[in-house]
Amino acid sequence: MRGTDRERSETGIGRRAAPATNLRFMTDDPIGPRLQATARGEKDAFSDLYRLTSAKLFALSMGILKRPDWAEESLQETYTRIWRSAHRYDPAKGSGISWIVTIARNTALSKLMRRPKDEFAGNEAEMLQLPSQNPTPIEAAMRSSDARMLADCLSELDQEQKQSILLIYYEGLTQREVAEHLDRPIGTVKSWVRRGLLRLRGCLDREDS
Amino acid sequence: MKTLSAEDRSQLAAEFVLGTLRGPARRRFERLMQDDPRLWQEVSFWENRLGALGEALPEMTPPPRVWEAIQAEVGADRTAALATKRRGLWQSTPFWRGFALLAAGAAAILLVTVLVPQESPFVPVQIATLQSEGSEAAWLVRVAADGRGEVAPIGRPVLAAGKDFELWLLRDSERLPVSLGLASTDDPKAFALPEGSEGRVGFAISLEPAGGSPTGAPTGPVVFVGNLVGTSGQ
Repeated sequence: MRGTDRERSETGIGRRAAPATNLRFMTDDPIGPRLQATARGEKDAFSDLYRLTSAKLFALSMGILKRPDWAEESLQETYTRIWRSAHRYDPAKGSGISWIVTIARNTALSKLMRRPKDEFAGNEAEMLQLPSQNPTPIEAAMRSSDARMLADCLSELDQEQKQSILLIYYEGLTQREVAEHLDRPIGTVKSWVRRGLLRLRGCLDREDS
Repeated sequence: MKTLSAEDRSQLAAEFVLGTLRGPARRRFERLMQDDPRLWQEVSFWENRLGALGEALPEMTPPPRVWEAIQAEVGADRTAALATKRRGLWQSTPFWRGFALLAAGAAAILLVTVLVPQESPFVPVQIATLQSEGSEAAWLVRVAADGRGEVAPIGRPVLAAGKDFELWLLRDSERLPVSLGLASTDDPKAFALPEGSEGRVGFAISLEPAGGSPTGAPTGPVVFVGNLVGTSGQ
């Protein structure tokens, strides 16, 4: 299955995908070599990294934290971590963009988990204010070979399984929040996520071999 | 301890990476990870694979003050930071909201940066990957031409409570290892090679009582070891 209008409207994810023109730089991982240069203390490379990735990581942090002040804090912490631990990046283990996205997500999630629930001021309306001009389906935005493989495997999942996993990934929702969002019982959502991950793993292993 | 099946490991690791594993369950998983390297591998698998979703993220330009703060924090080029700051000040209305706090913070950091001389860049000329027997790499040691060095965890080395990892310089077999201080499982740690470190062949990490070896020589088991190699192009 490829991205469709139906899928975009159902997941709420597609509308947040970037215009294709912004993704050209993502096709052959220009991030990895810049991470390696950053590890050698090259400030220009670090500056390039920020220029190339900060808009994506800011959108990711906003998606999870919903508050601009927290997202800014999280972004600052993310790049400080990237600067300090770039030497840990191992190109053999994955693409540069995967590595920095993981750092950004972990930073935002740990902030989210530390905040008491009543401090949480985000709402659906804020979520929808993310830039949405010229939206492209999520699969169309994934160009590198790693991303293509993931997109292919995601397309093998049932719509609900995929939707739940993507909501959790991009919005930092708990399974309970996904259940509320989709108005389904929590047990059902848990089972979608569990089975979805299992199928995803099976597909990724197959594609690897 | 209950043994996890391969499927359980994959499932828990995926939920850990997604962030749906929270609270006590998350902490329990982190403890389990310390005893089971297969869990780290699963976590790393999911982090790398799901990280590819980052390519489909939208773009949302952060305010200039974020880059200014990052530059101040990492001690980057002060001139560039000031130039951006001046431009950002007039262009960005939201800048004024955080002005008092940010300016105070940035001033404090800039003051420190001015007072503390900038170190020359750390350019490694030799590296060693330290491994445990039959397992994957756990530490990376890098040494610059001027004798500065750094030991950084690359896998997720597991440290028992009440213990510390201590880094040792290995020279030819005639000479005893020299302590280079403790190694942290969380962050890179700097060290300086002592005099007489010519003829170095590698590094080792031993498990020592908290605070390090009381004798000046390794007292616990040597758990990681690796030979030095020159980096290409140096």
